[in-house]
Amino acid sequence: MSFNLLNRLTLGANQSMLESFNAVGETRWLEEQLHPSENDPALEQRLSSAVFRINYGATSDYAAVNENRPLTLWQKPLKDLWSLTDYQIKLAHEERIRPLRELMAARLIRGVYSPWQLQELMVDFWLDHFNVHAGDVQVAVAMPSFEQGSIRQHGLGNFKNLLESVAQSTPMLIYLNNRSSRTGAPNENYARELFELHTMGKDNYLNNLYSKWKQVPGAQTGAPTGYIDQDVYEAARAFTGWMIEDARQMGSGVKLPNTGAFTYSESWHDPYQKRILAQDFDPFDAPMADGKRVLDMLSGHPGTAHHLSEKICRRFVSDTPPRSLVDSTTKVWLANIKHPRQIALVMQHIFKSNEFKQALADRRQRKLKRPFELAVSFIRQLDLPFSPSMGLVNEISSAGQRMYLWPTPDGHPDHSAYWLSTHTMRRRWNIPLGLIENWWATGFVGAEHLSAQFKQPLNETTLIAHHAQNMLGEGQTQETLSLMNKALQTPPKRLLGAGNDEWVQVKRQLAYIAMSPAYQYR
Amino acid sequence: MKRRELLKALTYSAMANAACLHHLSFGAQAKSTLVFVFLRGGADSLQMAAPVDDANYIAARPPELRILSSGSSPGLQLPIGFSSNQDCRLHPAAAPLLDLFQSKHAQILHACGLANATRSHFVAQEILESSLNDHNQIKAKTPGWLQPLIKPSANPNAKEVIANLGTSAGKIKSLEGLTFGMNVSGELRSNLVLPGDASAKLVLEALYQTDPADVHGNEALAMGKETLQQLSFVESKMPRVDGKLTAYTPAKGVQYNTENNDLLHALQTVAQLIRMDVGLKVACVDFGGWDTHENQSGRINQLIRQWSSNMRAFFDDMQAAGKPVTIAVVSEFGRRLRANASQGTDHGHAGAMWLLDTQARQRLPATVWPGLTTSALDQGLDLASTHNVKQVLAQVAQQALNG
Repeated sequence: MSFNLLNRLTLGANQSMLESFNAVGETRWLEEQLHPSENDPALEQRLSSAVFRINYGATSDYAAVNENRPLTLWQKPLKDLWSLTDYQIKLAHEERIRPLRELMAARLIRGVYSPWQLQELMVDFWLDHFNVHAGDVQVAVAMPSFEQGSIRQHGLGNFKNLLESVAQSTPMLIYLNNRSSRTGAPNENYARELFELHTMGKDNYLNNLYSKWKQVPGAQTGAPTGYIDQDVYEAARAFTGWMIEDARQMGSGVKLPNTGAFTYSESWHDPYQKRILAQDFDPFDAPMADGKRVLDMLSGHPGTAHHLSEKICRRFVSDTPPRSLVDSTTKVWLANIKHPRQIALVMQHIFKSNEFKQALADRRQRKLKRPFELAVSFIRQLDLPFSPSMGLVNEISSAGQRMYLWPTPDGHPDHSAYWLSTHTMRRRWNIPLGLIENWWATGFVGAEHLSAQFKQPLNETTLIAHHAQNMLGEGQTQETLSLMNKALQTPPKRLLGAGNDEWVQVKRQLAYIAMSPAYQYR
Repeated sequence: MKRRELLKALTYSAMANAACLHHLSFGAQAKSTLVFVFLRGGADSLQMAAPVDDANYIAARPPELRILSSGSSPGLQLPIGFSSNQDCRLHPAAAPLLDLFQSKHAQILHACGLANATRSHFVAQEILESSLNDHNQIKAKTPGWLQPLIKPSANPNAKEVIANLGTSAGKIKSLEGLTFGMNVSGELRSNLVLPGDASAKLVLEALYQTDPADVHGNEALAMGKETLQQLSFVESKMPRVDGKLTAYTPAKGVQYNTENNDLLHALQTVAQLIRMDVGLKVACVDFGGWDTHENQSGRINQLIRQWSSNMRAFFDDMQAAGKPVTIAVVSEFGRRLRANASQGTDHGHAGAMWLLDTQARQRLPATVWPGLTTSALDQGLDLASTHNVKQVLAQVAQQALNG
């Protein structure tokens, strides 16, 4: 049971995590995971000693580069990185987007080594929820500060703070175009996705039923149950003037500075009265008051509570989470609407629920591993040596998980119907074999890595059974091993020496175990 | 639009449909592979094909967001307009398609959309791609719109068939519920070989041999089994030189546009499978990037160029190979008539549907153009819908698949 639970709440239950879990017990372990510390010397050491390859060809402006480079940019503030977006300075594209590349490397390292595994899963959740496509150079440069300052800072905290932080973040203002939205004919992109994706959700979009705000149930008493396009149009007006310092010409000879930082422009804001979710907004309110009020109304709306509760339950419990759990979670969300640890309390409620325990025991409610989780769990459970590489990032992307590069604002779908196709299945099979055979320069796996805990002479059957047990847990090891052994016609109890050929075979067998149907699930 | 006018328009459209069906009943109709191209993001149909002399059109948009009738880059006049007495033109970047309109291999149905008033990408895509119409009923595994139209194969050796293809990594919702399918993203020949050696293949076959009694919670097992079967079948039929799988070779003189690798590989994978006669009935091709809220002019020019030149190349390729193909192109909605201040357009309602048929069969009803006056616009803002895109699509698919 603790194996199943840890596989849901971490990126792969390994021996050390199981031991610490068993030592402190479920309640305290969960409590600790929901209070991640900033101070992790061991993880810091991994990050500060890590390298990530950079490789590009020469042009007339710069020489070729192909080297392992430490991660030096990803923790710098945006103002120190923004000059990478300046095309007056001649730079290779890979140098411009290096902050994003380092962030990818750091995500992998944290996934493998961070003791705060639940936090890493929530970072993945929120990066999908507030998805931004980092294909644009300005977004790529601003992505580290977005992840650190918005997603990690508030990911277990209060949702309203998270929402406000994202609304003022450079990547979101660029990606959903609010930086160019101005009075007269505002750009509706951000406002629409704010309602539909970030807060109330498409289930509360009632445009097909009502075309006037007064008709929406609850509107007459100032508490509409859903929203329609009229709310989106008015909210777009409320956010006019929320932009970034991107050297833009503002008219009348005024030009914005070029720092990438958030700014508010009075002259681009539409100051007149508005009506959003049946509430009147006075004309000429204080700077940013209109937008902040919209975020306040949306973050406190019961529809948002339900949408977010259902989404978190779907991520951790089941593709089709039980309604009773979604309802009770919604209540906890609303009861803690101003709590500084609102999201952590919601998660605690979910993990302590009977529905969660039942889901862990029910094969039908298994959650598929995302390709990132598949790779990281394999590394963690075999304790493989690991160095991050673009080759691995690309393979994870080919298997369907495009880290920081999902194109549309909805983020990756959270349902097996998306994650399983003939294409992604084949790519999933590549991942363990490629890792253990070092196809992508993630590290050579030697005999010493796989046999550290064993006494000589080494027996192949025992060694593989031991690792299989660590990967698959009690229930599914036997079946997987016997199917594999039958196909390979493996002689039993072969002794392993130092010969390289034998270890090639051992390594492959460990990869095959991770290519099994059972290992595709958390 | 006033109700009376709408009724008049619908009556006209029914007559046009009847005429079209009458026409179709003559002559043998071969089955063709249906290629369903989805322009994701809400393509601005009003900058792809428009009545360029319409005063409301001119008033609502700056010149960069319009098709123009003159100047350095004028629109291309359609041989038959979709709005009578107006100058109907295509975006100049759609030039590769123009003579297909003249030879009647290409058709456009403008002002078609969903019956639902949604302006959400995700709701509109779900409704369009689902077999159901009520959005509240649609779940992740609800069968796609193509599922009810495709009869189960009568082939006794049905395992050796790739009946449907999605050219993206993840499943395409339109194909949900169909069997004998396959997904390929990227170049076909690099996405067939299994990892590892012959032993790895033996182990995979052993691990994925069982038929799951209960599919819930065993989706990976079922998909793994299907993957092994489909990959090995396609690999066995692939052209080789010196034992190695070869890159796709289009028919002589056919040039695909290489600016967008995803689209290029997607269409060449479809072309390759059609030419290999693997039993392909329907292929879904996604082409994203049409959500042009900002700086639309340059972006849409590039998108239309990549789209039209690749559609044309694929069409010519299939015609040269003598393979009957029907290509239907849709987007989840059209965009707002009036431009925003970011040099872009926001989400609208009706859009356009496009059809290319290698045998010049007239599959689309005639457009009923609702006009662009404020009273004619949907909710006073957007191009109104005079044809239900789902109904037209179903009819097109029915005719293509069943002959």
